Amino acid sequence: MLRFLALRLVRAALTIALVVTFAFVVLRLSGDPAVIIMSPEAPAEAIAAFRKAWGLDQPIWIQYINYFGAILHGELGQSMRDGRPAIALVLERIPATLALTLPAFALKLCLGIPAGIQAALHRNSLTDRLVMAGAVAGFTVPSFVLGLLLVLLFAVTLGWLPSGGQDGWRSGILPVITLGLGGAGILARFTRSAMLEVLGQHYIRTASAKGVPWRAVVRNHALPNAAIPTVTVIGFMVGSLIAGAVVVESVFSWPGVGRLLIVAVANRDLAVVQCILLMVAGTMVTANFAVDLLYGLLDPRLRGAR
Amino acid sequence: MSATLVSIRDLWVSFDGHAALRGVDLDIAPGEAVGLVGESGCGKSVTWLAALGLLPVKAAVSGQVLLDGQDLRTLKPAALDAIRGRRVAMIFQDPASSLNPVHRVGRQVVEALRLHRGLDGAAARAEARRLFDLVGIPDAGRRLDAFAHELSGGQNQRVMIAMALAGEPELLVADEPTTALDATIQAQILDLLRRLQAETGMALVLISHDLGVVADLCSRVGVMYGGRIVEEAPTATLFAAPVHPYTQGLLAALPDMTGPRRRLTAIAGGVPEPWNFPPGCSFAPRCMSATSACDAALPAARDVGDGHSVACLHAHVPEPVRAVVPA
Amino acid sequence: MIPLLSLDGVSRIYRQRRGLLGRGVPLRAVDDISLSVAPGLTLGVVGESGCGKSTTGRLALGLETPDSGRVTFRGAVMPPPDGAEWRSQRRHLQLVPQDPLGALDRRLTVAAQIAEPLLIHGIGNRGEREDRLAALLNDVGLRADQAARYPHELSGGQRQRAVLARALATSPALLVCDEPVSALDVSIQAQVINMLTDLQAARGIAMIFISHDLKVVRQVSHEVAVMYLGRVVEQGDPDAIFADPLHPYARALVSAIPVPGPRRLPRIVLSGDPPNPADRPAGCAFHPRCSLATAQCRVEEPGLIARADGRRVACHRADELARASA
Repeated sequence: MLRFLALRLVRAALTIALVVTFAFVVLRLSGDPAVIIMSPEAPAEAIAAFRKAWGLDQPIWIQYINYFGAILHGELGQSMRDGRPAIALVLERIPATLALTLPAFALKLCLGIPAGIQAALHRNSLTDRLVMAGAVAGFTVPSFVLGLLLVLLFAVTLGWLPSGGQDGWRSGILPVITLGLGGAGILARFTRSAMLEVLGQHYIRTASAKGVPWRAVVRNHALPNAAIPTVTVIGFMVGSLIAGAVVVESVFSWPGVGRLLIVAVANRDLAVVQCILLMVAGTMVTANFAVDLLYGLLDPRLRGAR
Repeated sequence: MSATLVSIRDLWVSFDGHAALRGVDLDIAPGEAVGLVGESGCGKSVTWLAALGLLPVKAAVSGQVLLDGQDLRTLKPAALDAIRGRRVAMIFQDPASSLNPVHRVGRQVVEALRLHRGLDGAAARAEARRLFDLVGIPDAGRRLDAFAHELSGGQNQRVMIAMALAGEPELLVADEPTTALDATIQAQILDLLRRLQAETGMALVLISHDLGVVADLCSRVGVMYGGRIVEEAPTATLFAAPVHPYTQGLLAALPDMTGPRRRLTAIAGGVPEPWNFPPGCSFAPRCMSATSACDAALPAARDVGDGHSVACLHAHVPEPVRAVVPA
Repeated sequence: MIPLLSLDGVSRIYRQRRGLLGRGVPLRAVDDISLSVAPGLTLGVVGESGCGKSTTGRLALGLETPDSGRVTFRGAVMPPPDGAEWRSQRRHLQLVPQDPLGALDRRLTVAAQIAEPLLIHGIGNRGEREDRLAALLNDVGLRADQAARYPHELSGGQRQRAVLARALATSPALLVCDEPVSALDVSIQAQVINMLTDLQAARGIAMIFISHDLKVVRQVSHEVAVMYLGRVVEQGDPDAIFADPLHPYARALVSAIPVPGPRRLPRIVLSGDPPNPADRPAGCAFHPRCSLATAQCRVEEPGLIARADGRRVACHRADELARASA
């Protein structure tokens, strides 16, 4: 078990290092931050001074090493744009993002799982067909399309809700629904197929044969087994709590981490991009780790194997 | 014959419009051991899954399943749940996959004890332990906390039997209980079933493809083919003097364990699939004695004496013989 | 007679990992066995799951290399798997597996698969191959229209005929049949068994017939070996062994076979499960389940010793048992 944990940690660290390197390479290859931030018309001396101040005049591999070294010391650098610590910039945006993603996550669970279970229990019924049609629509329609449609209907036409910005709880309703519906669709499909698989197993028949009422068969015998594959999908959703709202935040002009990321990328503000990527990678890795531990709890067959 | 415990009357089952069972009649007396034999798709398992309402919803079932005169097919779900596991219990072919993998086996036995005997907590655990001892699970106290994947196939089947005994049923339906097990383990389980039946006085229905297994344990045997019982007789009579051409063919196709080796008499053709049953007698296409009358309609079962009945127009009924009782 | 194929003191050891941390535990799947098959005759191998009978079959086919001992075919040591020499020898040694659906390619017609070995081994020209295919189909009792179908369109018995036809395509000298009829219904089993014995009589093929079904093995075999935990415990004439087994395990196994009608031997019910092959008991591996075990059985492994009647038995108490049953 210890070795399993250690192995997992090493893999997590490697994943994060790869993400950091990837961010560095992509951002440096795609343009010179000095030119972009100072604007191309800026005097050459000013650009040179900016380069010197941020260490951009050194060879690229030295910059990379400095970068990595700083991260290892917990220094995530400063924003090249306004000189504030990148971590502070990111942290102040996190509450706004979580204000969208957490309710959306709750919506996915509360809508997706019961819908999937109902669809599986009444296979090929009208309920099943409606749920599956809704689920497919939910995850095939891109979130910016869905978001715009919702804005068109509830903000522009009906005028019930604001179309964007962060101004009281009502402004959060449309983005939360936009985020939640897609995830709920995916979860409903996974839950349904997991339940159908489990309901066809022999131990379900055994439970019925020994006189367990059907509701209890579903609750005590089918659900705990169907939870095992479903947890993987939920893990992915937990992992995307920080960065899963980039598109939706843009559509609704929501001042969260996602918008910060878009601005930072456009500006080649390396420290900020990197800080966000580190956090995203961190949550993903943590969520995966939690899923692995949860598997062991849910499925006794995996306990011995580890 | 004494009073009947379970009486199946004209039971039909079809899946997606294809008949899998075509009018099964069967009586089980209290405490008796009845075997149902046949090849794949003959309907031997479907008969009992249908009787206990365990088929998927897409199965269309008609007919009667009377338990002490009460038709199980018309019962409300709650009333049926009170009978399943309590008065009629069932065990299955593959014991490992018939147990829930995420619950400890003891908990699964306790569940039945709580449902049918109102036992809970320490009392339920003590009774579960007693049942484990009864079915011969070594180190019963510790095994209660095991998961199915930690036990061997034989032990899992013992757990299934313990679970079936939890409701103190009047009838145990064992569906191919030893097919997935090795020969020496099969002998253990058959021995256990024989002992339990003698001790508890419950009736037993043993479903098997293996004529030997059925001969070992049952006093009466029904042979199924193409969704019907084609011959039914006391075990000794059936093996000594079968009259249905299919039963005769099945026995002739079986290699012997003793005596001179002979060429096996194979039945030509293949076993019919449920979506492909002929309109008349299912066996007619493979039968040497078939005539056009056989294809016209399902032959009715007729009594040929001594509890021996056969569903064949041409069955040759021999003079009564004194059958040899298997040891 | 010179044996066609022989296994001399052959062992095969697998490393079984236990968990991520566990070191490999040696698992003696086959432990120092010596068997031989004469041309045109059948050796039956019986035993329960985990006794090593399938590994024996794979060793005989040259699909696995023994860790000790040697396998010889027509007097020459079996070449190591996957070499050119091994590939050219494949045509003489063929496998008939238990699950014909798994052994057939779902995307090809049965006829194409039966003809495939002819192509691989470059046998005949196009016309000759077509004649050969027709003859093979006739031998196994498949019609041309059945052979034109895909495996899932055939019944279990027809698929097993197709697999057999494919195995016969290269005119092998030896067929290793691993539970070839276990998945089939009784009435179909008899058809396939008759076909195997007819083909053997007509073509003089030798067979190793592996099965857990003693009745079927008795029907087809000229010699039989009973295996327990990787070793042969009794070997000899099938009629003699199945009528009057000597080794206590063979006795239990034979008496466990349910037969319709009166039984000759009193039923012996063994207690417990067969032990894990990775956890072989010391001495005679059968002693923990044997009602006759003595102190000697717990420490000393009995050798497979030939007896006056020609059969070979690995039991310290064989002499006593033979006297008692005589």
